[in-house]
Amino acid sequence: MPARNKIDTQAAAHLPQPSDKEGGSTRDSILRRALELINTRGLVDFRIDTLATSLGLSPGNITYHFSRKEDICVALWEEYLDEFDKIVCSLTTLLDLKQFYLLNRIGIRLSYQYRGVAAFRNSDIGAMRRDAAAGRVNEEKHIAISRRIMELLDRNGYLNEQATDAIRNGTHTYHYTVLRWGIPWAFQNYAPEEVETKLDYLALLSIHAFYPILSEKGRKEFAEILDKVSSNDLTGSEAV
Amino acid sequence: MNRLVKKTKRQELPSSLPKRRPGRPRKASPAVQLRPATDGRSRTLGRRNGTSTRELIITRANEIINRTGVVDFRIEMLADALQLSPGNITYHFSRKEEIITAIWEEYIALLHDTAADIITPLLDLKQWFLFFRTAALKAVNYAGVTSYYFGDMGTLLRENETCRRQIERSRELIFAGYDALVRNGYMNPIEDRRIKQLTFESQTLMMRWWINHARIRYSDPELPAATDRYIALSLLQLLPYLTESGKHQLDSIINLIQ
Repeated sequence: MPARNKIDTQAAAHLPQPSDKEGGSTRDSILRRALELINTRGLVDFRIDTLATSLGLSPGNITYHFSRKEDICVALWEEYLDEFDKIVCSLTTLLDLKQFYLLNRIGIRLSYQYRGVAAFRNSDIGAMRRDAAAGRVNEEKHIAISRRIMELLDRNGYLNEQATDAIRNGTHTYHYTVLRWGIPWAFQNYAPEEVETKLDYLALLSIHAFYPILSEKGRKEFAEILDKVSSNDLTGSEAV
Repeated sequence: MNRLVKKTKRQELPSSLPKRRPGRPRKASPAVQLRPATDGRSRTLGRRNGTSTRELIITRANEIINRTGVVDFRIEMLADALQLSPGNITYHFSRKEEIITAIWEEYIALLHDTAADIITPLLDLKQWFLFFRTAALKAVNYAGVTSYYFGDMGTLLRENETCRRQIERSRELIFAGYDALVRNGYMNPIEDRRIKQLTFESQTLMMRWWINHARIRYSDPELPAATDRYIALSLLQLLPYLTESGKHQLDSIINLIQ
């Protein structure tokens, strides 16, 4: 499953033709191409005119669907959130550190796919202020997921018992921060063309947030994942 | 103690870099001006009687951007706030992007200025906390512009090299910090170099993006009080390696904040 997701993500990130997406309505092709442009130029420099030209449409065709560029951004953001909700379904009582890693791996890849929009929505002060209430609801939801993860890992013996509440709360903040801003961080830390090859590592960094509270058993499993990721052996020699 | 003395001395030294911002806001005052700064104006401008129009423009623009973000910021707003005509401003900066660049450069210069003197042979966890705190409070003063540079794909790509150099530099500093903490008995060495790297990256990522999380989580009036909790959090990743005396110090920092 993760391997397939990888292919989907990469395909969407480099969509060569707007019409690639299953026949696609105009609205859909607008969104695909807009995401591509926003991912490479950022939202600030993104213009409806440029979008229209690159799709061979008139600006009016676009404003018929989206009156302002901000509306496009909102539509993409909501798409991203819907996709994210699907990931959370895989959270079960069987959770171990490897499953946790795979969940975050999908999450990180999704954020990468929507990087232009996600980074902007979570960084620009104006955007954050306008949507403060929605932002907070979203954050609470993520922290609730993080709590659930911690509870399940705890139950399954992956956490050590000494961790105080202050430390556990801090862990959630760390975890959220890496998942949320890991992609823009990668664009500061690596050459842009390298970032895509670092997504598995970023997923590792996101579960590393839990490292201070892992039990012996948890650290052993972490070491295993660390070995696989750092030797680039995650998909094995025969990627599906 | 030693640090405090050193700091005071530093502030009096004439610096080669233009120092425009007050270095560290007082703890009690909100770090970011949240409203049109009626008295903040006199405070900042008062400090700089006789400074150039260019500097006034940068200072005031920074205040406005901290409130509005980069996208909503307009040269006309700035002209209004300074009671200048837009032409006065475009004489110095032809587009708002140029003002934003000037603020970013000021911020980068300031970071350089503060980072170097932290790792003393006396380093302990409390000093490290204070160092992170100083850096964080400075960053708060530039939150509008930094959040743009940290969040817009266009700027991230344009500034990629600058940021990579910065992170490389902070890696040297932080690794030197780990070594000093080990020498002084607060920490055991992180044996696995890959985990050492992960620890450094977690800390740095947190130091760069905590403001964003704080802004989502807390309302403006709650922000200053939340800040110290985030700074303490930047030490959390060291927990597995702390010795008894290290843990003791971390506990007392956490208690102090709560």
